[in-house]
Amino acid sequence: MQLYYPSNSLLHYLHGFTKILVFGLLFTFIPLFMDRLASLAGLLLICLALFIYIRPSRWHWFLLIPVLILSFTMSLSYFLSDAGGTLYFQADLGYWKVIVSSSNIETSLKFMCRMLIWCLLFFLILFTTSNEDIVMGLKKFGLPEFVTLSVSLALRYWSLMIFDVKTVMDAQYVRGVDFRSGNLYTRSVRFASTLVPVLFVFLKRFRTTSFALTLKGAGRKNKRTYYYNPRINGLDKRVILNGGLLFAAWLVLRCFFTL
Amino acid sequence: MSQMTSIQSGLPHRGVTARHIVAMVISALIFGATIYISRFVPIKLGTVQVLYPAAILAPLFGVWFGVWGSAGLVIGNILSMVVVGMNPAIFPLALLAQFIMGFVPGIAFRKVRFEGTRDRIVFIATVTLGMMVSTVLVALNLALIQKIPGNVVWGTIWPWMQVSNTLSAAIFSPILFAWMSDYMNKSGLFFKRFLG
Repeated sequence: MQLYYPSNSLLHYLHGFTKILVFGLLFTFIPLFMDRLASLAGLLLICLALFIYIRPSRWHWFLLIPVLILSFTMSLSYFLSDAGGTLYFQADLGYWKVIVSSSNIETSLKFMCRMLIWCLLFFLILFTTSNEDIVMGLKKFGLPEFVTLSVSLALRYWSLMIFDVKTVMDAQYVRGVDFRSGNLYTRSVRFASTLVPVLFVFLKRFRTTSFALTLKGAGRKNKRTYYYNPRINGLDKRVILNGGLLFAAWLVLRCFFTL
Repeated sequence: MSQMTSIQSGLPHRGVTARHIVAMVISALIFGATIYISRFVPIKLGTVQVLYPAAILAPLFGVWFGVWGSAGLVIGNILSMVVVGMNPAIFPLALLAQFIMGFVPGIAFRKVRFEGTRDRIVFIATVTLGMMVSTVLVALNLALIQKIPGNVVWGTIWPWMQVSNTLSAAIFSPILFAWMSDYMNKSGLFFKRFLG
């Protein structure tokens, strides 16, 4: 999984810890307690502006399509309850009632906005931070090394796993297993023929990983196997301070206005 | 000789070792990949997937790798969210649910002696109870954080999760366990103790 791309935006120069703290935690709570559609739409626009600022490639823009589809399909659940407002459409499906009313549409849109804001904030972290820096950021939060090491390995092996599955599928294809024709059931049965070889490829790979980790001194104290250790600099401190102030300002505003 | 350190004597030292990390990564990758594939089935109930085949695998990782497999389930779920840009910070109870899905079967497998039918029934009942508790946590996450109306959560989503999670795990997990445990034992990855 390689969502990161190098660029010269301000976010690219920040420490992983700063980005996880500000975009992954502090700003994540803001939409959670926002109840007005206009406020959420405004915040969504700000997040979109930040997203444009980091100059994602066309491929990175395409990643928003599954996010849009997922948030839309998830928001449909709100039409199963009666939230009041002007009724536009109602269908009785026995146990369920599909109700399309003004309040239902608003609630559903609010949910979509929230999901999109959260996804954009998270993409800001993922697109501007390498896997290594994400792990370094998590380390700064004080997580134990075995957790950060597991996350790091899982991120690394995600793309290798896809590669392994493709290799096994190619090998099976050469042996005459056709994955490109037949109905869904036939294809599923044929795909099942890759499961055991894939499992063995994984196990072989992980046995090697286990040896490598043992040699690297995994779990032992005072080992010196990490040479990459970026520091939190002045820019990070300013961003954390400003992020904290923004969050506090929003909390104060929330006491006086309905946002 | 008795005062020799573990490194001097060549004995494996206590604590987290490469084996535990590898167990977590295996669980995370397989569980995460299963969720990722099924995430694109275009029918959703809130943030819950209508089809959740990963629930079948969850008890197996708990049984094979104990607490490490259960922790791997949490990492796997986070990984599958990260890939599609979903923020794991808004699913704390759902992540805890993934842990319980592995934790309860893992501990039950090591506590039950499997000497008779009654023991097997106790084991299945415990695993089912664990799955039900985990679905309650997912439902609470939906109601409290995603703010989905209570009647939809408890009237539609939670009952459906008993089919997609609890029932499917009760049917398919034992089959997969019988089929795959031999491979796991041969590979030397099976953890006899719950804590490894």
